[in-house]
Amino acid sequence: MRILINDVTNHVYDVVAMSTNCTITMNTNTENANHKDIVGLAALPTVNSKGWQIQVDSLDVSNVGAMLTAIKNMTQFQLVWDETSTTDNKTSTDATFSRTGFAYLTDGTFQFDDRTNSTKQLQFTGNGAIDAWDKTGQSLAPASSTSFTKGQFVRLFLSSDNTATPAAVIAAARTLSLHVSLSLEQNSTKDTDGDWQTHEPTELNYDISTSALVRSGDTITSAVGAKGLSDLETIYESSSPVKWQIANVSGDNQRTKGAVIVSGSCIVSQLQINSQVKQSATYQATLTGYGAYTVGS
Amino acid sequence: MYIKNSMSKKTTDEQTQQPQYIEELLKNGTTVLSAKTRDELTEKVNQIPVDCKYSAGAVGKNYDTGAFTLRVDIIN
Repeated sequence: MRILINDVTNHVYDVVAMSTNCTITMNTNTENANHKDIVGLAALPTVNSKGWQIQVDSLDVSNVGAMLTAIKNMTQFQLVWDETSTTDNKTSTDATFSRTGFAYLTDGTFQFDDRTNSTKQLQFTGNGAIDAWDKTGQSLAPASSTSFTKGQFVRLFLSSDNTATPAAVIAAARTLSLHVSLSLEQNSTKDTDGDWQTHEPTELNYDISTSALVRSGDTITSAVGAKGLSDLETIYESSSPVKWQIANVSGDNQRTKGAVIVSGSCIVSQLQINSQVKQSATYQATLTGYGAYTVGS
Repeated sequence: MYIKNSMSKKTTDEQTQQPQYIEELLKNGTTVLSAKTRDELTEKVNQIPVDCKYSAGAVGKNYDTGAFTLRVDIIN
């Protein structure tokens, strides 16, 4: 089973590269149509509306920017899922069964954890009907990415205010997760054909979550230029937005900023500090997006 | 992404002999940079013209070839 994504404009179906898992869910809203004329107590469900969702997990984070742009632009994708009957999962067009439909990318989670392969999880919400996929004349792009990204090479940079370019990483960070969510509302009316649910986007939210060891007073925090717990606490107490960037990093202690993947402003909405006996004290910060994010810097 | 902080960068007009990956980026709107080291990859990113707005994925490592890769897309 595999998922193919067509961004509608280029008419090439991309197999989701390095996919580890996919879940296709179809659900129905029913109503019990039992009434007094019916003998017995058994339910008689009738279908009111139908919806569908697709979740796909992958180890390919090379197109994080493209996916974030798609959520922000409320791009509708044409999705295809099929059963490939050969071992060539990437390029085979010889599917015994396939279905297709249009969907919004409504949820994206991008995880960059220390010493771990980075992951992305995409959730699409169907907009309208599922149909058989006509393969005639369609071109299928092979999965292009084959590279793993270790999470320590992607870091969160923060500034101390909402004007300066973020220059300091979170010191001794362990995890980093960016979660973007596009809210939809159902917009089907009596004019809508069929019983499939249709939607339109209403709101875009995102948050960033990171956890780190408490290293206040450690020379590496101050000497190389990084933000520790005390800095985050200062930002939290100020109640003001600050700028952030998620960027590729290299160099000593993985602190030299390379290409910026995504950037924006945020408020520190939650700070949780945990200190357990005989273990390193840790903290977790949740940053809530303030205004739109920018793909790139 | 708009690079503002590199004084040595040239614009697309100024650049006469562009590396192949830059040409591919400008022509197709996307390219995958590949290099033996992360520093070499950074060098390649820095070659992208200053007036070219682009987004980059996360730097990946191919464990078969040892190459570092980065996908770059032009933002319209």
